[in-house]
Amino acid sequence: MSTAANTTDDSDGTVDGTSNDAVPIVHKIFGAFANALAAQPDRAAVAERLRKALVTDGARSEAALRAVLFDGGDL
Amino acid sequence: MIKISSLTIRDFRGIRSITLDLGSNNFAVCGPNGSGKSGVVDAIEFVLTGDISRLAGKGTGGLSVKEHGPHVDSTPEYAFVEAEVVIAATGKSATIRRTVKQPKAPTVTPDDPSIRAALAELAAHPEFVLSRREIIKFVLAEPSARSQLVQALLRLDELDTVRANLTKIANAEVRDEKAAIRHAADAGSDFALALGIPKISSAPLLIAVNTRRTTLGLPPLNELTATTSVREGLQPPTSAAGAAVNKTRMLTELRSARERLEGLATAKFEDALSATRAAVGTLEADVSLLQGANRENMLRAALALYDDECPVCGTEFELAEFQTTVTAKLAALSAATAKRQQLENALDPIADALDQAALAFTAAANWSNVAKIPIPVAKLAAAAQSKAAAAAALRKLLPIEATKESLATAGDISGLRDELAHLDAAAALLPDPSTQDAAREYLVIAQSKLESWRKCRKAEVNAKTRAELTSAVSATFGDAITDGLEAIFDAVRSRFGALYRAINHDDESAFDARFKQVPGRLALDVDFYGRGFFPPGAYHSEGHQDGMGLCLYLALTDHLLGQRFSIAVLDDVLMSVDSGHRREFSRLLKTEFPHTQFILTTHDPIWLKHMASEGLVGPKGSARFRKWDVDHGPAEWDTKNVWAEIDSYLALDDVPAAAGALRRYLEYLGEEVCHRLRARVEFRADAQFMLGDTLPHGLVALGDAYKRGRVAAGKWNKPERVEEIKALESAFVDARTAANVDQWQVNTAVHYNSWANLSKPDFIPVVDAYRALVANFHCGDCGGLLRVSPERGPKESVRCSCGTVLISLVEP
Repeated sequence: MSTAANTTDDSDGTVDGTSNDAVPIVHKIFGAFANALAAQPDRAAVAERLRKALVTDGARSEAALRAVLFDGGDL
Repeated sequence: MIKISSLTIRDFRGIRSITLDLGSNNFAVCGPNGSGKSGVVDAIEFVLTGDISRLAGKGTGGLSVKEHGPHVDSTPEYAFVEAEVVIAATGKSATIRRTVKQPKAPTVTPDDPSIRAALAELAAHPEFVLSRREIIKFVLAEPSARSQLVQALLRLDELDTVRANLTKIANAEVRDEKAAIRHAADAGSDFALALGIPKISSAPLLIAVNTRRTTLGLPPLNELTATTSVREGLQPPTSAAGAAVNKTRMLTELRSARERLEGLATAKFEDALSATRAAVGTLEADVSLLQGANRENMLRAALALYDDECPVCGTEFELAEFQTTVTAKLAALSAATAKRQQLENALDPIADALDQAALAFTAAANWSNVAKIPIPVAKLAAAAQSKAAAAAALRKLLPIEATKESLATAGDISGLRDELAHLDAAAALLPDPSTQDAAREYLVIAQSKLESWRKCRKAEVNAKTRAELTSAVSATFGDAITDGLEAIFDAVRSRFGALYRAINHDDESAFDARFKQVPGRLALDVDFYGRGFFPPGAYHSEGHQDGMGLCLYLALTDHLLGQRFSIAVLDDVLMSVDSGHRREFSRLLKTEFPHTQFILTTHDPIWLKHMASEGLVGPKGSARFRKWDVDHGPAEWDTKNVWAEIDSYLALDDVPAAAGALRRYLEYLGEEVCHRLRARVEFRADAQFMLGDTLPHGLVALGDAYKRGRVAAGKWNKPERVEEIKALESAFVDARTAANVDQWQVNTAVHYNSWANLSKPDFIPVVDAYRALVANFHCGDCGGLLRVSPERGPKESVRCSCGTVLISLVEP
């Protein structure tokens, strides 16, 4: 969970099937995705970039996602 | 989220002028078909979002808010809706006014950002207004359409957009990786051929290079690293070395061409061709498989060519919607997909060999002018083109005829050996380079090929890394969506089942449902009396399906919003549900969704009564539309209005119209008072009660109530209360006598017929008599109809809404 600590998403990254709090469901799923990706070897940096892009910046387009994936300097 | 306190509608959607006091509570609008109920629904949607769903979407071509929002002979300037609203969470209130002229620019007073934010949220997701047609889609839609509906309702559309884009990126990177691997293999093969070694390996490479370096007096290389230059220390060539250099390079490229040519003639290559020809034949013989492959090919092309619209039919699609639709169709072609992948794997090495041969033949053919007389290379040049074209056709697979033709000619090398022999002969005539020149050119070519190979290898590694990353990201995102949606659907399934069981506890107390979701599809199966799980439309009745639709909508919205689920406008959503289950629905909405303001329309006054009796709507929580005309719009059943209407008819000497209005009002009132006072009325299964069936019994019920109240007050030793009730009783008896209403029990129709034939002076006393009689059923302060409480069981009191009238019926 340490990789999730520096984000603006107040979701804990799990999708609780019964909760109705203020965190949009999509953000919960984005958070769960970023956490799962960060748990993979060497994917922590890109996971955090994606978390920020999806949750905070609202990135959705192919161009925006490509930039997040490849412009981080880790490729 | 917002609740509505009051709603004012002017010149809008069939409504001339009306104000409804909703009081931020549940509210019902009841009236026959065509009485203007849906105009109220449209008005609510319009004032909160600026849109009217019924004027948009499929099947509404040519309709628009601006042209068809105003009442038929009104204009956008005069058509408006105004709502007083309250933000449920903060209690802040405001007035929203929206004109048809400027539907996207509401006036908000006070202009509070939180109100604007709430309006923006509603405009983005207007699913709070639903008709039966929309509700039923949740249970009867195809899995792909249901998936879209549910995702839209849960505001998960963005997930599909992101998933589609990540998949698109991953697919592109995997394609690039395959190309990069192929290019690196080609470069490596060229490098080995140029060095004259079987394959790229450090030991033979160093031996070959150091032999030449020793010839040139250069120190040998001890190892081959990522930056090693095999020509390190080499001096520039002398001018006399040109012809010799050409010979060395030419021999190298001819050797490469021959190697590629002979590769196409090996038994191994022929076996590969035979095997793939057989596989292609199998595909061609199976018509359905071939059609599937063709269809799959078209769908993949459509996915690749999408540009805001379907590349085939031009229909505009959102990317996610388009990909969802096409991906669902592709999923149905899994057999064709598997066959295609199997064939592609077999065809790839053949296409690689053809590409390599095409490059080598081109290079060889370029030496045709090395001698004074041009050397014929037409077959080599043609072969270079045909092999490249064949490789491209094999990589596409379809059309199948092109693949078959490419496989048929792939091993054709006729005439090529001869042309290569002519080129060899021409090379032999070139002056031999010195040993040193040959060594020099060897190292120059080797370094050039080494650099190309390194570049391709670097690109291959990078492409692999990108492909691995994007595939992992895409797969992880897909898993996250699957896990997330499973958790959501599990919760929704549970809530949906509980809601449905609550309204059908009499015969489906063990009801359950199952969701099955794969990307782009959401299947729903429901239990049918313990006999198994089936689609909702399979065995359940239409009424049950209506109920399921509403329960699923409520479960989804409840999951999404919880206590923020503040408003839902349900337009005649339960028209197929029987009256018993509507009562259960009323109870369910009241008990399970206490924070939600439901605004319901119905044509069925019985359901309206159920809503009232179950407490879903309060005493002032409904409007009953009795008629509609194009000049006035809907007319409400309202005591003040009806007497004004009768007076206006009489002012015009139109006694038949006044008589008709009085009769219709009394018919309505008769049912209301019988219901509220719990009168004994002869049962009718069709609920078609005439005036004589109801009003006289309502009068008896009120008379009995006064009598019981008076007796009870006496037994409680409350003489003052006895006198008060006596006064009410006396006034009631006088009014009843004046109206001579009891004659209806003799002939139910006599008064209506007689009234219509009366002259105005004769009819005015009749109107006055009934006006006085009707007043006895209402509270003088709040104007509400009196009612017996409770609605079932022993009668305890007669009361009004405000408490002014309260007559206890309970004796000591």
